[in-house]
Amino acid sequence: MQHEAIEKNIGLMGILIIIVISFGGLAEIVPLFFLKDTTEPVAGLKPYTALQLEGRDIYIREGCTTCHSQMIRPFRAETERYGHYSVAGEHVWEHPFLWGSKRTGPDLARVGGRYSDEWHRVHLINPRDVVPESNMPAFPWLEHKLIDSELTPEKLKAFKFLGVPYTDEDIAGASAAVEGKTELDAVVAYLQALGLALKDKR
Amino acid sequence: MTEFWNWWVIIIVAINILGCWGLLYWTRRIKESEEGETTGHVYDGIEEYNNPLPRWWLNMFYITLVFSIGYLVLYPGLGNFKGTLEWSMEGQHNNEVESAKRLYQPLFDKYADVPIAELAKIKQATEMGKRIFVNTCFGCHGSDARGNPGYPNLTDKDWLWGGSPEQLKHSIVNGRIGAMPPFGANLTASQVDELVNYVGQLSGNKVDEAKAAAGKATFDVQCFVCHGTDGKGNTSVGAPNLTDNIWLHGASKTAIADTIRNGRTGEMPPHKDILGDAKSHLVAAYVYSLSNQ
Amino acid sequence: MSQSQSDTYIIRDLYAKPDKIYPRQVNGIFAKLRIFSVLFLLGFYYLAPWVTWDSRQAILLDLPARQFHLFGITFWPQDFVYLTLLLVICAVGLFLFTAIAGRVWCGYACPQTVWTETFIWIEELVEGNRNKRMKLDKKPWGPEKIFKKTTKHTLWIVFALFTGYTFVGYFSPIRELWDGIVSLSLGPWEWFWIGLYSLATYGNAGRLREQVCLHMCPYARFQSAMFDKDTLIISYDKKRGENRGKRKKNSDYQSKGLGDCIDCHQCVHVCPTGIDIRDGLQYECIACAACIDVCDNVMEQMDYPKGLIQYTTEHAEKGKETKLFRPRTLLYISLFLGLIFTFIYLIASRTPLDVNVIRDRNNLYTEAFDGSIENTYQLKILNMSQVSQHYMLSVEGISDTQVQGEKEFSIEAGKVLTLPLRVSAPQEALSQRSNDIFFKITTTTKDGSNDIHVAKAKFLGPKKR
Repeated sequence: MQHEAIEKNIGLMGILIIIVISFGGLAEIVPLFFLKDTTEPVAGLKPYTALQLEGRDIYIREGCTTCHSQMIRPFRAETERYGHYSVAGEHVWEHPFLWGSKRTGPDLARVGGRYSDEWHRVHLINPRDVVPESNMPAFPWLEHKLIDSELTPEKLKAFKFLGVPYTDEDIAGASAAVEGKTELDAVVAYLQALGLALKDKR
Repeated sequence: MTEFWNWWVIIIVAINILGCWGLLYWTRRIKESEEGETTGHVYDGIEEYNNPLPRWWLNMFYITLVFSIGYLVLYPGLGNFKGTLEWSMEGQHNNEVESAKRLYQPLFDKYADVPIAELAKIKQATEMGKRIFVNTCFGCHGSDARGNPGYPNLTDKDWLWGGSPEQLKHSIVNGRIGAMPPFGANLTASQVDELVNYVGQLSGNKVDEAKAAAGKATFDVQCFVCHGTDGKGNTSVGAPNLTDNIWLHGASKTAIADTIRNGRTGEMPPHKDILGDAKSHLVAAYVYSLSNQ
Repeated sequence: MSQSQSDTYIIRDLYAKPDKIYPRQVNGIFAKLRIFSVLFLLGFYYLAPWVTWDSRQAILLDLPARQFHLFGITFWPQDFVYLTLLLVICAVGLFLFTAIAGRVWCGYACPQTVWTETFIWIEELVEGNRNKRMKLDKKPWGPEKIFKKTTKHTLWIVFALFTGYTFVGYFSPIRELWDGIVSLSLGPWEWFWIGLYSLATYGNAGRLREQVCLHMCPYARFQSAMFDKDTLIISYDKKRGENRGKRKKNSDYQSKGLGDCIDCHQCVHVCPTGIDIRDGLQYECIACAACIDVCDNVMEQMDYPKGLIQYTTEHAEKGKETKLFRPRTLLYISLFLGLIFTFIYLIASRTPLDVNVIRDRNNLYTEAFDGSIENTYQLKILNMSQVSQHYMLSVEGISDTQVQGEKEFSIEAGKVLTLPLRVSAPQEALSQRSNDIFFKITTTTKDGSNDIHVAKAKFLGPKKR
C-alpha cells in the first residue's frame, strides 16, 4: 500500500488512526472494567446522601475541579499532607469521577472533617476572610440559592441505575432531605463527606 | 487478573511492539530510483521531498523498541507478570516512607526511653515536640495549645482524662471518646435550670441559692455517677471537674443548659498510626511541659 | 543499514564535518585589550573564592543550607527577587552595550571566548604557531606528534580540572574541598560537578570552540535585534580595498586598477570563527577585532594607511554622522541606571528578617468567657542576619488587643523560631468579620537604630449584621 492511498483518503486514515490508538486503551483500560480492585468499593464507603449529591452537582457546576484535584498520589510528600493515597475502590460510585488534573488549590480528596462547617461557609462566601493569601474566587451566591428538590430523586435514580446502592427509601426521601437547603449547605455537606472511608489510615 | 485478561494484555503489547518495528522496517529506506522524487506537494514554491527519515532519528525509534523490551522485563507491563524488579506504586510509596523513617526516626527514638517528666525539661526535646504539635494538633487545640470550644486547653492543670505523663501519652496514642449523655428526656425544664444553677455554684459563681439547692438533689440522683458527689469529675471516664469554672463547651447558662439537655460528645482521635510511639512520646513531653514548668 | 547491504538503496549523509579552524595569534592593540580582559576575568574567577571575610569564605553559595554569603550580607531563598533584579540589570546592560558597541561581549568578555583564548595559548605553547599546527595535524602519527598532542591535552585537562575545582569552590568551601580531593573523601555531587564543569571547559574551549558561537549560542542569534545603523561593527572598507590583488611593495598598484587589499588572507587566518570579513557583516563574526589588528600590521608593512578593516558603523560607512545618543540608547541607559539605583536602594534598605504569620486555619475564632474574641497564630521568624538578635513583638491594627505568648525573644543567626500566640480583642474593637492585624517586630541594630519588620494577617470575629 502506498502512503498516498492513506494520506489522501481521510476516512481510511481515520479508521487506521482509531485502530492504532485503541491499542493503548485495550491493554490499559479495558481489563480494569473486570478487576476486583477497581470495581468493588472499599470497606466503609458510603454513598452520598441526597444533600451531598446535590452539593456534588454544584461542585461540578462551579468548576471546582478546574483548580482542585481529588486524587492523592502515592508519594510521601502527598500522604504526609493529605492522608492515605487515593484508591480506586473509593471512587467506584463516582459518575463521573472528579479526580481532576490541576492543583491551583489543594487536593480535596480527604478534606471531609478537616474544617468545621462554619469555616467552610465563611471560606466559600469569601476565601480571603479566613485565608488572606488565597486566590480562590468567592462564591457568595451559593448562600442565597435554594436547591431544586424536584430533580433530586431523579438524580438518585440515575445513580442507582449506574450501580450505586440507593434504597427505595433513599429515593423517596430525597426531596424532603434537600427541601429548603441552600446550595451552600449542599456544597459544605459534600465537602465534609469527602474521603472519610480511609481517613484515619496512613 | 484472570488468565484471559492476562493473555489479552500480553498479546496486545506484543502486537504493538512488533507492529511498530514492522512499520519502521517497511518505511526505513527508499529505492534509488525514487531519489529526489517529490511528493508533489508544493507550498509557496517549496517542494516536499519523499526522503527517508534521518538515520539518527530512525535509530532513536529502534532504541525505543529496545527500551520497551527492557522495561517490560524490569517492570510490570505484561499481564500478571510483576517484572523482575517487582515494582509497584504502593511499593514505591512504602519505600519512600521507609527511607524517610530510617532518616528521621533515630532523631525521635533517641528520646523514646527517657521518662516524659524528665523529657519535659530537655529543651531540644520539647522544641521537637512543639514542632510536631503545631503541625498535627493545632487544628483542634490551637497552635498555642490553649484549646478551642469543645477542645480542651492543654496549658492549664485541668485534665479530663488525667494529666500524669502516662495518662497524657495514652490519650495521644489511643485517643479518647468522651460522652455526656443527653438528659433532656429525663429532666423537666425547671430541673435543668436548677442543675445549671447548682453547677454554677460549684464553680463559685453567683447563682440563685434556692434553685441551686434544688439542683443539688437532682445532681445527687442523675449526675454523681460520672461527676462524683462532690462534682470534681472522674478522669477514668473523662467526666470533667465542675468545680474549677473551666467550661469546655461554653460557660454561659444557655450553653450549660444545652450541654445537660442534649449531651456532648468529644473525640480525640488515636494517633498511633499517624504519629507512632516515639513522636507521641515527644508530644506528650511537650504538652506536659506546658503545665509543669 | 550500511550502503553495502544493497546497492539499490541509498542512505544520504545529512552531516558534513566542519573544517578545523587554526586561528593564528596576532599582535595589536585589540589583542592586547583582550589579553588584559582575559587575565582580569580569569584572575577574578580563580582568586575570588580564596578571599575571606569575617573568618568565612567571602563568596560562598551554600546550596544545602540555602544561604548565599556575599561578603557581609547573607542572602536567602526569600531574597530571590534581588537575583532576578540583578539578572535583569545584566540583560539590560547587555542590550545597552550591544546597541552602542556591537558584540563587545562576545569578543572580550564571554567565558567561551576567554577560555578558548587560554586554551589556544596553551596549544600554541606546545605545538607552535598556526603553520606548525596545521603541519603537525597532517603528519602521520609518530613519536613527536604523540608527545606534543599528549602534552597539550594533559595541560588542557589539568587546567580544566582546576577550573572545575574552582567552580565547585564557590558552592563548597574551597579549602576544605581541596583537602577532600587530596584525601578522596568528597561526596558524589562534588565529584560530579567538578567532573562536569571540567568536561564542559575542556569540551567547549578545547574542542567545540567556534561551534558554540555558531550553533549553540542564543545571544549570537538574537543580538542583531539590538543592532542599528549607529552600532559599532567590524567592517572591511570595500571602496578602498577593491580590487584586491597581489603586488610588490611600492609598486604603482593603482594604475593596475588594484585597491589597498593585497589579498594576503591574513584576516581569514586569524579569524576564530573562520569567516572572511571582506564578504561583509556576518552573524558568525564575534567582533574580536583580530582581523583589524592583523590587517593594520600588514598595512604598516606596505606603508599604506591603517584601517582597511576597522571598527565603524553603517552610517559612518555611508559618510553620515554616527549618533551615540539616540532613542534606543537613551532608553537602555535610563533603564540601566534606573534599575541599578533601585537595586542599590533595595539592598541598602533590606531588613535581614523574615516573618511568616500563619493563622490557625481550622478555627474561625474563639469566644473567651469574658466575651472577648481570640485568634491563634503561629509566627515563623527567621533571623537572616549573620549574628544572634534580640527581638520585640507588638500587635497593631486593632485597639485594646492582648497577646498571650512570648513578646521578647532572641534568635540565633540563621535560625527559625516558631512562636505560637493567642491574640484577644474586645468585640467592640472589631468593625467587621475579617480585620487586618499587624505583627510588628523590632530589633536594635549595631549602630543603635531600630529595624522594624511588619507582617500583616487577618483577625476574625463574629459576623456583623
